[in-house]
Amino acid sequence: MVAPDFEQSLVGAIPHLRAFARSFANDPARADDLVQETLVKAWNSRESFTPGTNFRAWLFTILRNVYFSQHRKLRREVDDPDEQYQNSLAVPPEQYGYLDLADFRTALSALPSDQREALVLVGAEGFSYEEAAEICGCAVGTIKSRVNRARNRLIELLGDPELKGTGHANPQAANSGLVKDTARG
Amino acid sequence: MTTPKPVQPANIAAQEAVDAEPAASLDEAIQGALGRKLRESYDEVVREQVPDKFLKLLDQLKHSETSSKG
Repeated sequence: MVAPDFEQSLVGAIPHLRAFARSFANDPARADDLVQETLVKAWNSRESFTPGTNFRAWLFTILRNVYFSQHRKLRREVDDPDEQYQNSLAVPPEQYGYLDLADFRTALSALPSDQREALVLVGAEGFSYEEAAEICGCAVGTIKSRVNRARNRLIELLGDPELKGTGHANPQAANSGLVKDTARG
Repeated sequence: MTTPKPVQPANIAAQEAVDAEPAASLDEAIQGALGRKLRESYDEVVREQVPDKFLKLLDQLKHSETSSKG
């Protein structure tokens, strides 16, 4: 018997799984493959979910496991394409301080993957340090230090003088412009 | 034996202005801007329409189960 609640929760979590998967796989198609495999795993192991606990955290843990089991296989065959991609994307010094969404993403993708993951879980998904630690299977202090290092590295990559100015002006107009830019590129 | 120093008044003035910022509030401003950018970037993907293939996949999973049990 399928619990309708489980199915509904799963559907509701898909957008978040897709966003989280992008922090592992730069290629959106690869990220979606990762989500599909996660959905199959989650469905098949739904009995192991404890009601009342954080459903999204449970799903993110599964996605992570799927990714790392695939990635280990991949690593043996080719020389870690993700890392190479990241290295090729360092922000050139003349662009320091100029912050649009594309630049931010470039800097984010240049972070070491464990730091990016911690930053995304805490800063974007809003998990507590404790929840993020559980998802990543590491100590709370490790998550805290990864988040701190991620922030410092981002500041280094982006340069800070212009960052101060990004909060004011007209955020809605700025957002719609950025969305269009991204869709075009 | 004096070493001539390059004089760059404009750059030095600018650097001093940056240095004069209270470190804590500058840091907060930067962290705040970074946090907003991170959420903006992430939420853009969250708001994307979910491709049909995901819902089809869930339907398949559901039906394969019903038929194997029925």
